[in-house]
Amino acid sequence: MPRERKFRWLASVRDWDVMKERERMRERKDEGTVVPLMNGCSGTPETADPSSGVEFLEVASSGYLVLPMWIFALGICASGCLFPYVSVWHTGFSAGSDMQGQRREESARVPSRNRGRDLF
Amino acid sequence: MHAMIVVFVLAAVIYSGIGGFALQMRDYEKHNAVLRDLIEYSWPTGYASDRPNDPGVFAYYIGYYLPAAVAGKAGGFRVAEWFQYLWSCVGVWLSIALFMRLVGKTSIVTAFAFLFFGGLDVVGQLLSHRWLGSLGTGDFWIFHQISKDESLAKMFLVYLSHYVQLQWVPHNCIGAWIASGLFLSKLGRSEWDKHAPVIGAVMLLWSPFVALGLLPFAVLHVLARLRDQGWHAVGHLLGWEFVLGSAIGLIVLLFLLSNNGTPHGFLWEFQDLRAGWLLLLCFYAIEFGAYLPVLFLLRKTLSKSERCVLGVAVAVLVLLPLYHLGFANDFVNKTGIPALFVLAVSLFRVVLRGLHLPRLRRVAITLVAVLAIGTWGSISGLLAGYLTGLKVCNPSALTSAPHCNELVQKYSEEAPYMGNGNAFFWKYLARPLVLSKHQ
Repeated sequence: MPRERKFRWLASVRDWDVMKERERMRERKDEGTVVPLMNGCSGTPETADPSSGVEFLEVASSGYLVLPMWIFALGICASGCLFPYVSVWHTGFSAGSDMQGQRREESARVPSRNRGRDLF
Repeated sequence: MHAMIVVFVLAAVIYSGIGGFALQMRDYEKHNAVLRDLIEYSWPTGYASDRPNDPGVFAYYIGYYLPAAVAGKAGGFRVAEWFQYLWSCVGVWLSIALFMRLVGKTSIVTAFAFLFFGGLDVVGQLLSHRWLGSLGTGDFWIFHQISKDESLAKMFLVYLSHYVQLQWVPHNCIGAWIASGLFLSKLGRSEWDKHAPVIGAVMLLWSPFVALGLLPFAVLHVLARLRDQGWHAVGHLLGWEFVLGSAIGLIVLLFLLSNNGTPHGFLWEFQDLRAGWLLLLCFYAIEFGAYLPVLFLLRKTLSKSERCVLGVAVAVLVLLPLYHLGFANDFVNKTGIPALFVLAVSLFRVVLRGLHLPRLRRVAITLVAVLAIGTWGSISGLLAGYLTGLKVCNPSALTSAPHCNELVQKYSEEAPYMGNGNAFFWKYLARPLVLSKHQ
C-alpha cells in the first residue's frame, strides 16, 4: 500500500490538509508566508505545526490524571512500603515497628467483638 | 476570550454542587461520605465490623477524591471542599481545552457547546411528563416512565448530558473527558503507544467504568497500527510504557476486585424485553439516534478514519444498555462517557466543516438547531443550581455526611463501596488495616 494511503486511513482531514499544505509550501520554499491552520495556530511553513503550543495541554492533562495515582501509591505504602509487607513483615522483623504498635493501640480501643481479624 | 472561558468554568463548576457551595444532587450523600472517610480515616480504609472474621474494607474507585482528601487531612473539611472545587475547575478547563483542540475551534461558544452537550432528553420529558418536568431532572425522563409502569422496573437507562454528568458523577466524567481527549488526539499515531497504557491504567483508579469505555478505542488503535505497520507495531505497542501501565493497572485492579460486587447480567435477565423494547428504542432515538440522520447527510465532511471512530462510538452506545450492572445501572451511564465524548467531537467537527461548504450549510444549520435543543438537560441542571443560590458561608457539607459503611447499611446493594478484607490486595499489597470506628 502506498505510504500516503496508509497514513490517510487513520489521519483526520485536518491533519491531512495541514500536512499537504506544509508539503506544498516547502516545495515552493516560501518561508515568509504565514500558514493558517484549522486548529487556530499559525506560523511560517517551517514553524507551523498543529501540535505547537498544545504540548503543555497534553502534559497538564496527563498529570491531572496521574496525580491521584501517586497519592494512592504513597498512601498505601506510607508506613510500610510495598515490599516489606511481602518479605519483612511476614518474617516478623517489623513486629515492633510503629505501625504494629499503632495497630495494637487502635485494636485496644475497639471492643473485642468489633476488632476484626488480624490480617498479618 | 480565554478569561471568559475561565470565568465560565468557575461559574459552571460552582453551580454543579462541587465543593458544597450550591445545590448538591442526591449522589452527594455518597461523594461527601467518601471524601469524609478518606479525610478522617487512614488509608487504606477498614471499618470495625460486628463480624470478627470479615473486616469491612473500603474498595471503591477513588482517584477523583484523593487530592482533596490530602488537602483535607492537612487543613480540614472546608479546605478539602475548596480544593475539590478548584481541582475540578482545572479538570473541566483541561477537558474544554482538549475538546476545542479536537474540533479545531477555540471560542467561548465551543466551551458552551461542550459543557451543555447532550441527547434530546427534552423530547423524552415531553413524551413522559407531557411537559418539561422539574428543573434538574431534564435527563431522567426514563425514570419517570419507569415509575408509571411496573413492568419496566429495571429499565434504568441514562446517558447524561455533560453538565448533568458534572452534577452527578464528577468522579467519573472529568477523568473520562480528559482521558478521551488524550486518547483521541493521538489515536492511530505512535505517540499513543507511549501515553495510552499509563493513562488507561490510571483511569482504573478514577473509574473502571470509564476505563472499560475507552477499551474499544484502544482496540481500534491497535488494529490500525497492525494494519499500517504489520507485526512491527507489536514491538512499539509492548514497550516499557505498556509494562508500566500493566503493573499500575494490575495493582489497582486487585484493589477494585476486592469489592463485594453488585448484581449484574444481561438486560433480559433483569427485565422482560417484551415490555421494554419500545422504551429501549425510544432511549436510543432520544439519546443519540436523532443525531445520526444529520450526521449521515454530512458524512462527506468526515474522513474515513473519523467515520470509523464514530462508528465504534455509536456501536458502544447501542450495546451498553444491553448489560445491567448496579442497582441503578450505573454501568450504562458511566461506561458510555467516552463514546458520548467521541459523538460530541464528531458532531461539532461536521458542523464547523459543513458551515464552510455552501451545499451543506443548511444541513449544518439544522444540526446546530438539534444540538441547541439537546442542551436542555444541561441547562435544566444549571438552572436548578443557579436558582437555589450559593451558600458559600454555610458550614461544610462534610460535617454532617454519613460514613460509607453507614450508607451500605442504609442502602444495601445500592451502595457497593465495601470490599473483602481477605482479598489478595489487602493481604499482600496494602499496609496493615487500621480499623476505624465512628465516634
